[in-house]
Amino acid sequence: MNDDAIGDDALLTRYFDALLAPACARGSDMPTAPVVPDAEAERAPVTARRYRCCQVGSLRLALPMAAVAAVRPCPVLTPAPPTAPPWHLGTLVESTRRLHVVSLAALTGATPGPGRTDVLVVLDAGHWALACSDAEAVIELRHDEVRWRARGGTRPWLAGTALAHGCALLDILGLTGLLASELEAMADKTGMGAPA
Amino acid sequence: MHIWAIANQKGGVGKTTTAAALGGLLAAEGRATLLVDMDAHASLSSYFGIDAPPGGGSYALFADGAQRLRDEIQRTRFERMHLLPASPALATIDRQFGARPGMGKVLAEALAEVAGLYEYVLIDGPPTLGVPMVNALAACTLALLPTQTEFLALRGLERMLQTLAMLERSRGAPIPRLILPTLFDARTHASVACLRTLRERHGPVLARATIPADTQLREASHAGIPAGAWPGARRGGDAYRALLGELRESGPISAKAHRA
Ligand SMILES: Nc1ncnc2c1ncn2[C@@H]1O[C@H](COP(=O)(O)OP(=O)(O)OP(=O)(O)O)[C@@H](O)[C@H]1O
Ligand SMILES: [Mg+2]
Repeated sequence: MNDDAIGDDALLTRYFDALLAPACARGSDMPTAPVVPDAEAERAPVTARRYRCCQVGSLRLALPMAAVAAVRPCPVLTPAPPTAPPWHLGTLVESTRRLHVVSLAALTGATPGPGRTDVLVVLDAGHWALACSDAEAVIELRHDEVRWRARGGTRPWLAGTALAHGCALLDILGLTGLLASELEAMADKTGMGAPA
Repeated sequence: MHIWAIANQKGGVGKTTTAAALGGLLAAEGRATLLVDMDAHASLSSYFGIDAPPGGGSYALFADGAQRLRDEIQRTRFERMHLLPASPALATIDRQFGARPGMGKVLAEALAEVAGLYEYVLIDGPPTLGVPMVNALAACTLALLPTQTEFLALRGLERMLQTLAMLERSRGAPIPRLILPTLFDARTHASVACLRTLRERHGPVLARATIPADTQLREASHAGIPAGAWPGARRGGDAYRALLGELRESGPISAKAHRA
Protein backbone atom coordinates (compact mmCIF):
# COMPACT_ATOMS: atom_id res chain seq x y z
CA MET A 1 0.00 0.00 0.00
CA ASN A 2 0.98 3.56 -0.54
CA ASP A 3 1.01 4.38 3.15
CA ASP A 4 3.43 1.58 3.89
CA ALA A 5 5.74 2.90 1.20
CA ILE A 6 5.80 6.31 2.91
CA GLY A 7 6.93 4.76 6.19
CA ASP A 8 5.74 5.06 9.75
CA ASP A 9 7.83 8.08 10.62
CA ALA A 10 6.57 10.16 7.73
CA LEU A 11 3.00 9.19 8.51
CA LEU A 12 3.36 10.09 12.14
CA THR A 13 5.09 13.36 11.35
CA ARG A 14 2.24 14.27 9.04
CA TYR A 15 -0.24 13.37 11.79
CA PHE A 16 1.58 15.48 14.40
CA ASP A 17 2.03 18.39 12.01
CA ALA A 18 -1.70 18.47 11.36
CA LEU A 19 -2.64 18.20 15.03
CA LEU A 20 -0.30 21.02 15.98
CA ALA A 21 -1.12 23.21 12.99
CA PRO A 22 -2.78 26.59 13.66
CA ALA A 23 -6.16 25.81 15.13
CA CYS A 24 -9.37 25.89 13.20
CA ALA A 25 -12.79 26.67 14.59
CA ARG A 26 -14.00 24.54 17.44
CA GLY A 27 -16.64 24.39 20.09
CA SER A 28 -19.66 26.53 19.31
CA ASP A 29 -17.94 27.75 16.15
CA MET A 30 -17.57 24.22 14.92
CA PRO A 31 -18.89 23.33 11.52
CA THR A 32 -22.22 21.63 11.97
CA ALA A 33 -21.52 18.73 9.62
CA PRO A 34 -22.13 15.47 11.43
CA VAL A 35 -18.76 14.04 12.29
CA VAL A 36 -19.72 10.78 13.92
CA PRO A 37 -22.29 8.60 12.36
CA ASP A 38 -22.89 6.26 15.27
CA ALA A 39 -25.18 7.01 18.17
CA GLU A 40 -22.75 5.69 20.74
CA ALA A 41 -20.55 8.73 20.40
CA GLU A 42 -23.45 11.16 20.67
CA ARG A 43 -22.94 13.51 23.54
CA ALA A 44 -25.40 13.04 26.32
CA PRO A 45 -26.65 16.30 27.81
CA VAL A 46 -24.47 17.55 30.61
CA THR A 47 -26.13 17.13 33.99
CA ALA A 48 -26.97 20.10 36.17
CA ARG A 49 -24.23 21.64 38.28
CA ARG A 50 -24.64 23.14 41.72
CA TYR A 51 -23.77 26.75 42.31
CA ARG A 52 -23.57 28.85 45.42
CA CYS A 53 -25.16 32.28 45.16
CA CYS A 54 -23.47 35.34 46.64
CA GLN A 55 -25.60 38.40 47.16
CA VAL A 56 -23.96 41.78 46.55
CA GLY A 57 -26.56 44.51 46.84
CA SER A 58 -29.13 43.69 44.21
CA LEU A 59 -26.67 41.58 42.24
CA ARG A 60 -26.72 37.83 42.61
CA LEU A 61 -23.51 36.08 41.65
CA ALA A 62 -23.35 32.30 41.28
CA LEU A 63 -20.15 30.36 41.57
CA PRO A 64 -19.56 26.64 41.07
CA MET A 65 -19.76 24.67 44.32
CA ALA A 66 -16.59 22.91 43.31
CA ALA A 67 -14.70 26.17 43.67
CA VAL A 68 -15.87 26.92 47.21
CA ALA A 69 -13.93 25.71 50.24
CA ALA A 70 -15.96 27.41 52.97
CA VAL A 71 -18.52 30.09 53.74
CA ARG A 72 -18.12 31.96 56.99
CA PRO A 73 -18.41 35.28 58.77
CA CYS A 74 -15.72 37.80 58.01
CA PRO A 75 -13.27 38.28 60.90
CA VAL A 76 -11.23 41.43 61.52
CA LEU A 77 -8.82 41.80 58.62
CA THR A 78 -5.26 42.97 58.38
CA PRO A 79 -5.77 46.11 56.28
CA ALA A 80 -4.58 46.13 52.67
CA PRO A 81 -1.71 48.48 51.81
CA PRO A 82 -2.87 51.89 50.53
CA THR A 83 -1.55 51.05 47.08
CA ALA A 84 -3.78 47.96 46.84
CA PRO A 85 -6.50 47.78 44.18
CA PRO A 86 -9.91 49.11 45.34
CA TRP A 87 -11.36 45.60 45.59
CA HIS A 88 -8.75 44.55 48.14
CA LEU A 89 -10.32 44.69 51.60
CA GLY A 90 -7.40 43.19 53.50
CA THR A 91 -5.89 39.85 54.35
CA LEU A 92 -6.40 37.15 56.90
CA VAL A 93 -4.29 34.17 57.81
CA GLU A 94 -5.93 30.77 57.64
CA SER A 95 -4.25 27.62 58.90
CA THR A 96 -1.83 27.26 56.01
CA ARG A 97 -2.42 30.21 53.74
CA ARG A 98 -2.84 33.94 53.68
CA LEU A 99 -6.13 34.91 52.08
CA HIS A 100 -6.74 38.11 50.20
CA VAL A 101 -10.27 39.32 50.82
CA VAL A 102 -11.98 40.65 47.73
CA SER A 103 -14.91 43.05 47.68
CA LEU A 104 -17.22 41.63 45.04
CA ALA A 105 -19.07 44.93 45.00
CA ALA A 106 -15.94 46.90 44.13
CA LEU A 107 -14.84 44.33 41.62
CA THR A 108 -18.13 44.04 39.75
CA GLY A 109 -19.22 47.64 40.16
CA ALA A 110 -22.41 46.53 41.92
CA THR A 111 -23.92 48.86 44.49
CA PRO A 112 -23.23 47.18 47.83
CA GLY A 113 -26.75 47.84 49.16
CA PRO A 114 -27.79 48.65 52.71
CA GLY A 115 -26.79 45.33 54.34
CA ARG A 116 -23.28 44.64 55.60
CA THR A 117 -20.91 42.66 53.44
CA ASP A 118 -19.67 40.44 56.22
CA VAL A 119 -19.85 36.97 54.74
CA LEU A 120 -16.76 35.39 53.23
CA VAL A 121 -16.78 32.78 50.51
CA VAL A 122 -13.35 31.15 50.64
CA LEU A 123 -12.20 29.70 47.35
CA ASP A 124 -10.69 26.27 47.36
CA ALA A 125 -7.65 27.00 45.24
CA GLY A 126 -5.36 29.98 45.36
CA HIS A 127 -5.58 32.48 48.17
CA TRP A 128 -8.84 34.31 47.78
CA ALA A 129 -11.94 34.96 49.84
CA LEU A 130 -14.90 36.84 48.37
CA ALA A 131 -16.85 39.24 50.57
CA CYS A 132 -20.61 39.48 50.09
CA SER A 133 -23.70 40.03 52.23
CA ASP A 134 -25.20 36.56 51.97
CA ALA A 135 -24.14 33.21 50.51
CA GLU A 136 -26.75 30.82 51.82
CA ALA A 137 -28.56 29.89 48.61
CA VAL A 138 -27.49 26.96 46.47
CA ILE A 139 -29.03 26.49 43.05
CA GLU A 140 -28.77 23.95 40.26
CA LEU A 141 -28.07 25.11 36.76
CA ARG A 142 -28.02 23.17 33.54
CA HIS A 143 -25.47 24.13 30.93
CA ASP A 144 -28.23 25.19 28.54
CA GLU A 145 -29.81 27.51 31.11
CA VAL A 146 -26.80 29.76 30.98
CA ARG A 147 -26.05 32.33 28.36
CA TRP A 148 -22.30 31.81 28.25
CA ARG A 149 -20.07 34.71 27.34
CA ALA A 150 -17.06 34.39 25.12
CA ARG A 151 -13.87 34.56 27.13
CA GLY A 152 -11.80 37.70 27.37
CA GLY A 153 -13.33 41.13 27.15
CA THR A 154 -13.48 43.74 29.86
CA ARG A 155 -15.06 41.53 32.51
CA PRO A 156 -13.01 38.36 32.73
CA TRP A 157 -14.82 37.49 35.98
CA LEU A 158 -18.14 37.06 34.18
CA ALA A 159 -18.81 33.59 32.77
CA GLY A 160 -22.38 34.20 31.72
CA THR A 161 -25.88 34.91 32.92
CA ALA A 162 -28.76 32.68 33.94
CA LEU A 163 -31.78 34.88 33.43
CA ALA A 164 -34.30 32.37 34.78
CA HIS A 165 -32.41 32.35 38.07
CA GLY A 166 -31.69 36.05 38.05
CA CYS A 167 -27.98 35.64 38.49
CA ALA A 168 -24.65 36.23 36.85
CA LEU A 169 -22.14 33.40 36.85
CA LEU A 170 -18.68 34.07 38.11
CA ASP A 171 -15.82 32.78 36.01
CA ILE A 172 -13.55 31.63 38.80
CA LEU A 173 -10.52 31.20 36.62
CA GLY A 174 -11.03 34.55 34.91
CA LEU A 175 -11.67 36.17 38.27
CA THR A 176 -8.64 34.80 40.05
CA GLY A 177 -6.47 35.44 37.01
CA LEU A 178 -7.54 39.09 37.08
CA LEU A 179 -7.02 39.40 40.84
CA ALA A 180 -3.58 37.80 40.68
CA SER A 181 -2.43 40.01 37.82
CA GLU A 182 -3.64 43.20 39.58
CA LEU A 183 -1.92 42.21 42.80
CA GLU A 184 1.24 41.40 40.91
CA ALA A 185 1.10 44.76 39.13
CA MET A 186 0.77 46.43 42.54
CA ALA A 187 3.73 44.45 43.87
CA ASP A 188 5.82 45.43 40.86
CA LYS A 189 4.97 49.11 41.32
CA THR A 190 5.67 49.20 45.01
CA GLY A 191 8.60 46.80 44.91
CA MET A 192 6.77 44.52 47.32
CA GLY A 193 7.05 40.78 46.84
CA ALA A 194 4.44 39.15 44.66
CA PRO A 195 1.58 37.53 46.55
CA ALA A 196 2.49 34.15 47.97
CA MET B 1 2.73 27.07 36.06
CA HIS B 2 4.53 23.78 35.80
CA ILE B 3 2.84 21.31 33.51
CA TRP B 4 4.11 17.77 33.74
CA ALA B 5 2.85 15.19 31.28
CA ILE B 6 3.22 11.69 32.63
CA ALA B 7 3.45 9.67 29.49
CA ASN B 8 4.43 6.37 28.01
CA GLN B 9 2.82 4.52 25.14
CA LYS B 10 3.37 1.33 27.08
CA GLY B 11 0.65 0.35 29.51
CA GLY B 12 0.95 -0.56 33.17
CA VAL B 13 4.25 1.22 33.82
CA GLY B 14 3.00 3.33 36.71
CA LYS B 15 1.82 6.52 34.99
CA THR B 16 -1.37 6.86 36.97
CA THR B 17 0.28 5.87 40.23
CA THR B 18 2.95 8.51 39.60
CA ALA B 19 0.41 11.23 38.79
CA ALA B 20 -1.54 10.49 41.97
CA ALA B 21 1.59 10.30 44.11
CA LEU B 22 3.15 13.55 42.88
CA GLY B 23 -0.20 15.36 42.97
CA GLY B 24 -0.74 14.23 46.55
CA LEU B 25 2.70 15.40 47.66
CA LEU B 26 2.38 18.78 45.97
CA ALA B 27 -1.08 19.47 47.37
CA ALA B 28 -0.01 18.38 50.86
CA GLU B 29 2.82 20.90 50.60
CA GLY B 30 0.32 23.64 49.96
CA ARG B 31 0.64 23.84 46.18
CA ALA B 32 -2.54 24.39 44.20
CA THR B 33 -2.46 21.37 41.95
CA LEU B 34 -4.62 20.29 39.04
CA LEU B 35 -4.64 16.67 37.91
CA VAL B 36 -5.74 16.11 34.34
CA ASP B 37 -6.99 12.70 33.28
CA MET B 38 -6.36 12.22 29.56
CA ASP B 39 -6.93 8.48 29.52
CA ALA B 40 -10.32 7.18 28.39
CA HIS B 41 -9.97 4.41 30.96
CA ALA B 42 -10.21 7.18 33.56
CA SER B 43 -7.95 5.36 36.03
CA LEU B 44 -6.82 8.57 37.69
CA SER B 45 -10.42 9.74 38.05
CA SER B 46 -11.36 6.39 39.62
CA TYR B 47 -8.31 6.58 41.86
CA PHE B 48 -9.94 9.59 43.51
CA GLY B 49 -13.50 8.30 43.16
CA ILE B 50 -14.57 10.93 40.67
CA ASP B 51 -16.70 10.42 37.57
CA ALA B 52 -16.98 12.81 34.69
CA PRO B 53 -20.59 13.55 33.73
CA PRO B 54 -21.58 12.06 30.36
CA GLY B 55 -19.88 14.06 27.65
CA GLY B 56 -17.98 16.02 30.28
CA GLY B 57 -14.49 16.02 31.76
CA SER B 58 -11.50 16.34 29.47
CA TYR B 59 -13.66 15.22 26.52
CA ALA B 60 -15.70 18.43 26.76
CA LEU B 61 -12.63 20.52 25.87
CA PHE B 62 -12.51 18.82 22.49
CA ALA B 63 -16.24 18.65 21.87
CA ASP B 64 -17.20 22.12 23.12
CA GLY B 65 -14.00 24.12 23.27
CA ALA B 66 -11.17 24.88 25.64
CA GLN B 67 -13.29 27.35 27.65
CA ARG B 68 -15.20 24.42 29.12
CA LEU B 69 -12.29 23.66 31.44
CA ARG B 70 -13.66 25.91 34.20
CA ASP B 71 -16.89 23.91 34.38
CA GLU B 72 -15.33 20.52 34.27
CA ILE B 73 -12.75 20.77 37.03
CA GLN B 74 -13.83 18.99 40.21
CA ARG B 75 -12.52 19.01 43.74
CA THR B 76 -11.01 15.88 45.22
CA ARG B 77 -11.28 15.12 48.90
CA PHE B 78 -7.73 16.38 49.26
CA GLU B 79 -7.36 20.06 49.84
CA ARG B 80 -5.84 22.06 46.99
CA MET B 81 -5.94 19.07 44.65
CA HIS B 82 -8.41 19.43 41.83
CA LEU B 83 -9.12 17.05 39.01
CA LEU B 84 -10.25 17.27 35.43
CA PRO B 85 -11.73 13.78 35.09
CA ALA B 86 -11.86 11.67 31.94
CA SER B 87 -14.91 10.00 30.48
CA PRO B 88 -15.04 7.00 28.14
CA ALA B 89 -16.10 9.38 25.35
CA LEU B 90 -12.46 10.47 25.25
CA ALA B 91 -11.80 7.26 23.33
CA THR B 92 -13.83 8.63 20.43
CA ILE B 93 -12.02 11.91 19.88
CA ASP B 94 -9.52 10.53 17.41
CA ARG B 95 -12.38 9.41 15.22
CA GLN B 96 -14.43 12.53 15.80
CA PHE B 97 -11.87 15.26 15.66
CA GLY B 98 -8.50 13.65 14.89
CA ALA B 99 -8.42 14.99 11.37
CA ARG B 100 -9.09 18.58 12.35
CA PRO B 101 -6.01 20.83 12.28
CA GLY B 102 -4.96 22.22 15.62
CA MET B 103 -6.71 19.53 17.68
CA GLY B 104 -3.40 18.74 19.36
CA LYS B 105 -3.32 22.12 21.09
CA VAL B 106 -6.69 22.13 22.79
CA LEU B 107 -5.37 21.18 26.22
CA ALA B 108 -2.51 23.70 26.00
CA GLU B 109 -5.02 26.45 25.21
CA ALA B 110 -7.32 25.39 28.02
CA LEU B 111 -4.51 25.28 30.57
CA ALA B 112 -3.32 28.75 29.59
CA GLU B 113 -6.60 29.95 31.10
CA VAL B 114 -5.85 28.52 34.53
CA ALA B 115 -2.30 29.80 34.80
CA GLY B 116 -3.31 32.11 37.65
CA LEU B 117 -5.00 29.38 39.60
CA TYR B 118 -2.68 26.40 39.77
CA GLU B 119 1.01 26.09 40.39
CA TYR B 120 1.23 22.56 39.12
CA VAL B 121 -0.68 20.65 36.50
CA LEU B 122 -0.09 16.91 36.22
CA ILE B 123 -1.44 15.17 33.16
CA ASP B 124 -1.99 11.43 33.26
CA GLY B 125 -1.53 10.21 29.70
CA PRO B 126 -3.05 7.18 28.00
CA PRO B 127 -1.01 4.14 26.95
CA THR B 128 -1.73 4.83 23.29
CA LEU B 129 -0.56 7.33 20.74
CA GLY B 130 -3.42 9.56 19.64
CA VAL B 131 -5.04 12.94 20.15
CA PRO B 132 -5.07 12.80 23.99
CA MET B 133 -1.37 11.88 24.19
CA VAL B 134 -0.40 14.53 21.62
CA ASN B 135 -2.35 17.10 23.64
CA ALA B 136 -0.58 16.12 26.83
CA LEU B 137 2.86 16.39 25.25
CA ALA B 138 2.06 19.59 23.37
CA ALA B 139 0.91 21.26 26.60
CA CYS B 140 3.65 20.16 28.94
CA THR B 141 6.72 21.93 30.26
CA LEU B 142 8.18 18.53 31.14
CA ALA B 143 7.49 14.99 29.99
CA LEU B 144 7.93 12.49 32.78
CA LEU B 145 8.33 9.01 31.32
CA PRO B 146 7.76 6.19 33.81
CA THR B 147 9.49 3.07 32.54
CA GLN B 148 9.17 -0.32 34.10
CA THR B 149 12.60 -1.84 34.75
CA GLU B 150 12.12 -4.80 32.46
CA PHE B 151 13.43 -5.40 28.96
CA LEU B 152 10.17 -5.27 27.08
CA ALA B 153 9.53 -1.90 28.63
CA LEU B 154 12.85 -0.61 27.27
CA ARG B 155 11.62 -1.14 23.75
CA GLY B 156 8.45 0.72 24.62
CA LEU B 157 10.58 3.57 25.93
CA GLU B 158 12.54 3.79 22.68
CA ARG B 159 9.29 4.11 20.77
CA MET B 160 8.12 6.78 23.19
CA LEU B 161 11.35 8.73 22.71
CA GLN B 162 10.95 8.55 18.93
CA THR B 163 7.44 9.91 19.31
CA LEU B 164 8.76 12.74 21.47
CA ALA B 165 11.43 13.60 18.90
CA MET B 166 8.88 13.78 16.11
CA LEU B 167 6.51 15.82 18.23
CA GLU B 168 9.28 18.25 19.08
CA ARG B 169 9.77 18.85 15.38
CA SER B 170 6.06 19.46 14.83
CA ARG B 171 5.75 21.59 17.96
CA GLY B 172 8.84 23.53 16.97
CA ALA B 173 10.13 23.50 20.53
CA PRO B 174 12.04 21.05 22.65
CA ILE B 175 10.21 18.99 25.24
CA PRO B 176 12.33 18.52 28.39
CA ARG B 177 12.02 15.00 29.68
CA LEU B 178 12.91 12.79 32.59
CA ILE B 179 12.83 9.01 32.48
CA LEU B 180 11.61 7.48 35.71
CA PRO B 181 12.45 3.83 36.41
CA THR B 182 9.47 2.17 38.08
CA LEU B 183 8.52 -1.20 39.56
CA PHE B 184 12.18 -1.74 40.38
CA ASP B 185 13.02 -4.90 42.26
CA ALA B 186 16.65 -4.98 43.42
CA ARG B 187 16.41 -8.73 44.04
CA THR B 188 15.87 -9.64 40.42
CA HIS B 189 18.66 -9.71 37.90
CA ALA B 190 16.36 -8.43 35.16
CA SER B 191 15.49 -5.26 37.08
CA VAL B 192 19.10 -4.50 37.96
CA ALA B 193 20.40 -5.16 34.44
CA CYS B 194 17.62 -3.06 32.99
CA LEU B 195 18.40 -0.12 35.24
CA ARG B 196 22.05 -0.37 34.18
CA THR B 197 21.04 -0.28 30.52
CA LEU B 198 18.85 2.74 31.17
CA ARG B 199 21.80 4.52 32.76
CA GLU B 200 24.11 3.68 29.87
CA ARG B 201 21.69 4.76 27.18
CA HIS B 202 19.87 7.64 28.81
CA GLY B 203 22.02 8.74 31.75
CA PRO B 204 21.53 12.51 31.41
CA VAL B 205 17.75 12.31 31.33
CA LEU B 206 17.34 9.44 33.78
CA ALA B 207 15.91 10.29 37.18
CA ARG B 208 18.14 9.52 40.15
CA ALA B 209 15.05 8.40 42.03
CA THR B 210 13.91 4.86 41.29
CA ILE B 211 10.41 3.79 42.24
CA PRO B 212 10.57 0.35 43.88
CA ALA B 213 8.00 -2.36 43.32
CA ASP B 214 5.93 -1.83 46.43
CA THR B 215 2.68 -3.78 46.70
CA GLN B 216 1.46 -1.16 49.15
CA LEU B 217 1.16 1.26 46.22
CA ARG B 218 -1.60 -0.98 44.88
CA GLU B 219 -3.28 -0.91 48.29
CA ALA B 220 -3.01 2.86 48.33
CA SER B 221 -4.72 3.09 44.95
CA HIS B 222 -7.56 0.83 46.14
CA ALA B 223 -8.00 3.11 49.12
CA GLY B 224 -7.91 6.21 46.90
CA ILE B 225 -4.98 7.67 48.83
CA PRO B 226 -1.86 9.03 47.08
CA ALA B 227 1.33 7.07 47.83
CA GLY B 228 2.89 9.71 50.08
CA ALA B 229 -0.12 9.75 52.39
CA TRP B 230 -0.54 5.97 52.64
CA PRO B 231 1.15 4.81 55.83
CA GLY B 232 2.00 1.34 54.47
CA ALA B 233 3.72 2.62 51.33
CA ARG B 234 6.79 3.99 53.03
CA ARG B 235 9.26 2.79 50.41
CA GLY B 236 7.14 3.89 47.50
CA GLY B 237 6.21 7.15 49.20
CA ASP B 238 9.83 7.99 50.00
CA ALA B 239 10.85 7.28 46.42
CA TYR B 240 8.20 9.66 45.11
CA ARG B 241 9.32 12.30 47.61
CA ALA B 242 12.87 11.94 46.33
CA LEU B 243 11.60 12.26 42.77
CA LEU B 244 9.74 15.45 43.60
CA GLY B 245 12.86 16.94 45.18
CA GLU B 246 14.77 16.11 42.04
CA LEU B 247 12.11 17.54 39.74
CA ARG B 248 12.21 20.74 41.71
CA GLU B 249 15.93 21.25 41.57
CA SER B 250 16.31 20.44 37.88
CA GLY B 251 16.65 23.41 35.53
CA PRO B 252 13.63 23.50 33.25
CA ILE B 253 11.11 23.48 36.07
CA SER B 254 12.78 25.63 38.66
CA ALA B 255 10.76 28.48 40.13
CA LYS B 256 13.01 30.97 38.34
CA ALA B 257 12.37 29.50 34.93
CA HIS B 258 8.68 29.55 35.74
CA ARG B 259 8.60 33.24 36.61
CA ALA B 260 10.75 34.29 33.67
N1 LIG C 1 5.90 0.88 42.10
C1 LIG C 1 4.88 0.02 42.06
N2 LIG C 1 4.91 -1.10 42.81
C2 LIG C 1 3.89 -2.00 42.78
N3 LIG C 1 2.79 -1.83 42.05
C3 LIG C 1 2.69 -0.73 41.29
C4 LIG C 1 3.73 0.25 41.25
N4 LIG C 1 3.35 1.23 40.40
C5 LIG C 1 2.14 0.88 39.92
N5 LIG C 1 1.75 -0.31 40.45
C6 LIG C 1 0.52 -1.04 40.15
O1 LIG C 1 0.61 -1.48 38.81
C7 LIG C 1 -0.62 -1.33 38.13
C8 LIG C 1 -0.44 -0.39 36.94
O2 LIG C 1 -0.04 0.88 37.44
P1 LIG C 1 -0.62 2.23 36.83
O3 LIG C 1 -2.08 2.13 36.65
O4 LIG C 1 -0.10 3.34 37.62
O5 LIG C 1 0.08 2.19 35.41
P2 LIG C 1 -0.28 3.01 34.11
O6 LIG C 1 0.98 3.19 33.34
O7 LIG C 1 -1.05 4.20 34.44
O8 LIG C 1 -1.23 1.98 33.36
P3 LIG C 1 -2.12 2.28 32.05
O9 LIG C 1 -1.14 2.36 30.93
O10 LIG C 1 -3.02 1.10 31.96
O11 LIG C 1 -2.82 3.56 32.27
C9 LIG C 1 -1.59 -0.80 39.17
O12 LIG C 1 -2.28 -1.88 39.72
C10 LIG C 1 -0.70 -0.16 40.23
O13 LIG C 1 -1.29 -0.20 41.50
MG1 LIG D 1 -2.95 4.85 33.76
